[in-house]
Amino acid sequence: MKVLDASVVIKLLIHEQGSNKVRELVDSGEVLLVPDIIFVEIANTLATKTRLSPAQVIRGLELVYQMGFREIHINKEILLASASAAKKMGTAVYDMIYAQIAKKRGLKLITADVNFARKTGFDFITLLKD
Amino acid sequence: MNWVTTNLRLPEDNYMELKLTAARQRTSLNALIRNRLGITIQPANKGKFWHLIDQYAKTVSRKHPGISFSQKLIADRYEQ
Repeated sequence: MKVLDASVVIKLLIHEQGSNKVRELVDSGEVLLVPDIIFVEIANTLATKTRLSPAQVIRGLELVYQMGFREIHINKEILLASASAAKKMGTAVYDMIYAQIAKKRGLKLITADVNFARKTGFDFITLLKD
Repeated sequence: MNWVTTNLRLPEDNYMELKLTAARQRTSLNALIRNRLGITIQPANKGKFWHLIDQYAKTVSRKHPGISFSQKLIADRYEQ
């Protein structure tokens, strides 16, 4: 069981560095956890940072919903821990939420965010490598 | 996988919360509970699913040559 960061999952929607590795992960049958905010993050990137049509944005999100991830609801405990850790380490709360979910469950977090891994120094983070 | 249909007794408050969450996520109570238990249903036809993903990614890549959505998402987090 692993936690996947949105920076990893979104690679399935475009052919970019690491896309094949993400496909292997998702196709492995291993249970993969994601916080429910992942859909908002991916929706925001598709809607505001791309030249996709509204229909293509919706199609992309539908595909992400079909990937069979186990969704983790962000409760107050996760959010408070994430906000506190983000403030201490100078990161965004968004990526820290994924890290706190992994930390609390003793799982690996797979991310493509090199700066987040370097800033936090968390030993449970694995950087996605192609 | 064999499936079993069962009744489940829940406190009313928890039940209402689950119903509301399911409605907000536009999913069923069944799907929500299965998801929270870590039971995932893979697409019936994995080959077809990956074909759809490939088609989508190909179209998107043509529109965005050399662009990393991953890097855009990461940048987005720090622009809020």
